[in-house]
Order: sequence, then structure tokens, then C-alpha cells
Amino acid sequence: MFELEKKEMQISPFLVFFNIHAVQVGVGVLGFQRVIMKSAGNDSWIVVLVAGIIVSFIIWLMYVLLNRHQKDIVEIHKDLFGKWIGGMISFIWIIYWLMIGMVTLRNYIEIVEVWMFPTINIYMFSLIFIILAYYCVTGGFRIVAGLSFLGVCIPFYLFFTFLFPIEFAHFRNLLPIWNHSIKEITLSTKDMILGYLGFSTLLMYYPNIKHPKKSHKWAQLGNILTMVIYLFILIVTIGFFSEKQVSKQIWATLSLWKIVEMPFVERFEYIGITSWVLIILPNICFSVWASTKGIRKIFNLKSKKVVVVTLGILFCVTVAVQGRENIALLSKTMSYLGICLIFIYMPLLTLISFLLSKIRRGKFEKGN
Amino acid sequence: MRRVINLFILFLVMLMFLSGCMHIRERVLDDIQLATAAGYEYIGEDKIEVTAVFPNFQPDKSVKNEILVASSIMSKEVRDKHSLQSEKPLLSGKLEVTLYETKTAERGIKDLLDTLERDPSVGSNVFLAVLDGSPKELLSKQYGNMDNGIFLSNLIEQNIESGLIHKTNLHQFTYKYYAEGMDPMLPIIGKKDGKINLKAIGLFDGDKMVDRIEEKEYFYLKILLNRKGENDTHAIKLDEKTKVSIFNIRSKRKYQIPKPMTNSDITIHVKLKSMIREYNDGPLRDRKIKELEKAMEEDIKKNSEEMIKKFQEKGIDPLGIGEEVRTRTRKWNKEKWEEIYPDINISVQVTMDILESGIIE
Repeated sequence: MFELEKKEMQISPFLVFFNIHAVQVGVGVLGFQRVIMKSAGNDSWIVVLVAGIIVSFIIWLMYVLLNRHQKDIVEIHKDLFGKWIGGMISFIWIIYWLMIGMVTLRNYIEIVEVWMFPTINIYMFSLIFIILAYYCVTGGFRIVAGLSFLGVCIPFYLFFTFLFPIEFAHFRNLLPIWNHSIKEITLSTKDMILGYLGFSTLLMYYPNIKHPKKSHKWAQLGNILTMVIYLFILIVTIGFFSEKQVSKQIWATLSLWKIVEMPFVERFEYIGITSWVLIILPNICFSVWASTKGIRKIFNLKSKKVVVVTLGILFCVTVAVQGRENIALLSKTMSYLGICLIFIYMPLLTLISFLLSKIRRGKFEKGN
Repeated sequence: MRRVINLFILFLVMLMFLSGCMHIRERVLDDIQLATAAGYEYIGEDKIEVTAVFPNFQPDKSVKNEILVASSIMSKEVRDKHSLQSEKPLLSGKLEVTLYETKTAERGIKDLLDTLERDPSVGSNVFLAVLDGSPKELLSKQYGNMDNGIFLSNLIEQNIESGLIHKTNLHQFTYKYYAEGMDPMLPIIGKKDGKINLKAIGLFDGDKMVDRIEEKEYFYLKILLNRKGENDTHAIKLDEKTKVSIFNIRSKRKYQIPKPMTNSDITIHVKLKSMIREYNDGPLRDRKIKELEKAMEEDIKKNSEEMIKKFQEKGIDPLGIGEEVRTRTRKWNKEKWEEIYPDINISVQVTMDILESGIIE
């Protein structure tokens, strides 16, 4: 355990449950239905399950890799590929983590613009958000992890409001089951994966977990909670909207709230979208924290100013990307990068690590 | 630790200053006018006239309805024109009811719905209704001591809850409009002796109103529309003397579609459990109740089958039979369904159970 962080920087294994879940659920939940129902229609719930199981497998793979090395991914790269190539690959990961933050923040601001305040000053809004993120990230990893705990627990009541639309739901829409070809299911599974992305920051905070091997089951449970939430919202959506109607809703989850009417509030979206800040804040903090730590490790920087640089990049990109098309392009690039890194590169890395350790051990034995 | 506290204080101070720069347009309730109802009417090839009603609260706690009328090519444009006529900006966040004049509904209301669907400030609970008559005239009158939007919305909501008409609102309309095997319906509002009443239900083919069913047929429509029903009421006249009115406690509807997407028969089973509300032909004996059940079953069967025939002739499907078929077939084809729909033999099987007959025999 020589590579692990100091005790006071570590978190309990069970917090991994909240960490994994908080990073996975971001703005994706608000509008994933249209994308996956485009090709899988009423069978989309299968897609959510399949994607969840695949992600579960990848999390297992990550633990196999991390448990062997007991280091974060930047150092694993350094060990396996040397300083230069390893550093370069780590840098791609860092870009990817930073992009998660950009996509989350930019999409959230877009929602605020469209649903609540069309004239909102996005420079000011992102600035305030980034100052908040600065405050959290400089507090260290324990603050970020604790924030994810609050970010899961406090806004959890929001999911109960999705019971309101059930009054109008036609659950017959779920039938006939398995109405789509394997090809269609696969296509939309690829799109659904985007909703689960973000859990890869685990590769960076693994050394910050006390008894990291014990945290595996919590990570899996976090992923299962994400899956259950997606499944619940999707089933309500399938029942509540007809298929063609969903294809028109950019944020179907928010459109579900349009039917909620309570004596004290006419439009529930305003409360919902505002509460959503608590859900995306840990998201952004994790992405900034992971990329900051990564940069520090690659370039051997000790300075705390690195976080200012990362947040500066986050701010610039967030305000520079405007309009739905560009935002969609940013999200798409991020999801492609994520899919390549997690579903192609991760298994490859595990394999390489396995083979290299065999070879090295072989050499070691021969040398003796 | 002190560093963190300093940072936090700095952060709080900054927040206070920054929120002023957010450039959010604040809307103070006293400085705006919230339209509660809007009436749409085409007055030219593509010119629509919109009547908006907003309440004007008087010092003596009474409410005065005020209307604004303007016309333009798009309804959001009309709202700007409304604002030109009024001392405060007019907003649609509290819209309760939208009315479409009959001719307009027959022409199609898709273009007029876009503004409601696209606008995040309009809820899905807005009631839509077709109006026999001019919206300008109807909305300018005063009905009770409340604003007209709330009045109309209460009128519709109360009747939905007491089970006289089907569930309807903006969401239900768009749901059925976009659903492939179902057509929407809207209540039709008319004026009778100075009072507003829900006189019929308009049947739509897509977004165009093509037919209507009258008040006496609401019952058949309602028991066939929902999988589970309650609160429906029905009265029939058996012969010269015997008249009976029943109240439906629970009803269940089940489709039997042996071979979906073919010309083979479709049977709709309806099971009703009811109570007698009114009866005027002497005492009710067990044998008499059996007779009444039989007569009721026949009446419901005959009338609902006639109603479905009428739907099939018009090529509309307000009951959502297409949806039932769609959820039972793997390769659903909308065009093919529309082709075979008018020729399918659809029968209704009714089982009526009269459980109680009130507190007298």
C-alpha cells in the first residue's frame, strides 16, 4: 500500500457508492429518452439494462487493474509505457475528464436559458459556478467526495415527483416486448452509455479510498442505483408520452414536470431545474479534481495554481460554445472519446498490464 | 483553516455582487398581466384573431374580466400586439384554457398548438376546448365572481372529476395526436340561455375536427375509452312506463383481438358493476333487476356498436382501438391499419351487474 495517499486524504469505502452515482447522473437524465427511443422505441428499457450491465463489467475491469497496481491511472501509464508515451495517454484521459465537466455545465446552462431565463448572462453564471467549484476542489478530495454524498441525498426527493405523470400513463405502450432488432438495440445502447459516463474518475481517486478493495461492491451498487433511476424515468416516459411525441421533446424528463401541479407551485420545473444544481455540482467538481490531479502528476507540479488553469479552460470553453448545434457537437465528441477510452482502451490496458507483468516476471525469473 | 474561511467569505461577498449581473428579467406579479384564457379564430387565409382574458382584481374583492383582441399571422405576435393595447405586459404563464372556434377546429389546430407546446411557461394541464360561437363574445361576458379562465377551467375539471366527460388537457390531446392508432377528442363548449355548457364532444381526425357526439352518448364513449372506469351515469327507457337510471361503480374494459392486423373480428368486453339511482315502475324485485340488467346490456351493446360503426365510416379512432392492435403486433404498419380499420367487424359484449338499488326497494 506504499503508493496510497495519506490517511487524512482518504475516504471510507462506502462513499464510493455516492461518488460513482453522483458522477453518472448529470444532465443526461433530463433528456436521454429522445436519443435512445429513436432507434429502440418501446424496448428502450432493455437498452438501459444492457448499458448498465456493460458499465458494471467495466467497473469490475477497472478494479482488476487498480487492485493489481494499487496506483492511479497516471502512474500505471508511467509504469507500463514509460514517462513520455504514458504521459501522453494520460493527457488524453485528462482532456476527457475535463470535457465531462464542460458538457455538464454547458448543457445545464442551456437548460436554464431555454426553460427559465432566456436572457441570462452565461458569463456571470459560469463564473459563479466556477468559483463554487474552485472552493470545493481546493478543499481536497474529501470535500469533493462529501459533496457527492449531499448531491445524491438532498435532491433525491425530485425523483418522487415523477410519480405525478403516472396518472396519465398508458403502460400498454411497453408492449410488444422485443419489437426491435438486435442491431437497433445495440445502436441505442451506444447512445445510452453516455448517460453512464463519468465513473472513470475512479481511476484517479482510487488511491484516496481507505481499503480500496472493499469499495468494489459499493461502486457496483452506485452503478445499479443509476440504472434503477434511469429505468424508472424511462418507464414513466414511455407510458406518459406516445412515441412520436417523445421524439419532439428535447428534455423529456423536464417535460414530465409540466404536468405536475401543486397547490403552492404552478410550474414545478423552476424548482426542479434549480435543485438540479446540486446534482451537477459534484459532477463538475469530480471532473475538475481528476483533471487537476492528473496534470499535477504528469508535469510533476506541486502548485495549487493548476486548478485555476483547469477551471479557466472549463470557463472559456463553456462560454465559447453557443447554440444547440455546437453544444450537441461538444457532447457528441465527449461521448465518442468516452466510449473509445472506456470500452476499447480500458480492456486493452488491463490486458497489456496483465501480459507485461507476466513478461516482466518471466524475465525476472530468468535473470535469477 | 483560516485560508478556507477567508475564501468562503470572499466567495459570499462576490456572490452578492455577481447576482446583480445575471441579467435575469424579473417579473413582479403586480407589474404583469397573466392571461387565463385565450380564444383562437381564423379570420383570413392565415390570419388568426386571438382573444385573451385577464382578471382585473377590484378593491372590493370582486373580479372584473378584461379582454384584449388582436390579430396577426402567429399567436406569439398577437401577444405582442395585446401588450401594445395594455398598460402592463401580457404573459401566458397562468393560461388555464384555450378555446378554438368551430370553423377553426375544422380547419385544423396544429399550427395553433405549436405555441403552447414550444413555450416552457405553458403547462401540460391547460384545457383545450372547441367553442360553438365567437370567442370574443363568450370571453367578454362575466360568469360568476371569478375570472373567465378559472371559471372555464373549473367547469371542465369538475365534469372530468365527476365522470361526465373524458380526461382531457393539452398533454392528452398531443399524446393522442402523435399516437399512431388513436385520434384526439375535445369537449365542445356552447352557450345556452346565457349560460356556458359542455354540449358535445368533438372528434378529431388528426388535428381537424370532423364529427361530434352528443351528450346522451357520453356514457358509451366513456366506458369504452378507459380500461377502468367509474362514476359514469346512464338512463334508459325500457317501455312506456319503465325508466331507469344507473350509476356505474366500477367498469372494466378488455379487448379480445385474436388475430391482430387482419380483418378478423375484434371483441370488446365491458363489465359493469352499477347501482340504480332512479327507477319508476313499482317495486324492484330480483326478477325485475335481472330484466333490467338484460335490457341495459342490450342497449349498451347496440348503441356502442353503432357509435363504433360511425367512427369506422369516418375513419377516425377516438377509442384507440389502433393502439390496442399496435401493442399486440410486432410489425406495426400504420398505413395498413388505416386501410383495414373501416372493414373490421368490431363487436361489444356487455356484462351488467346491478349490485344495489338505493335505500328503498
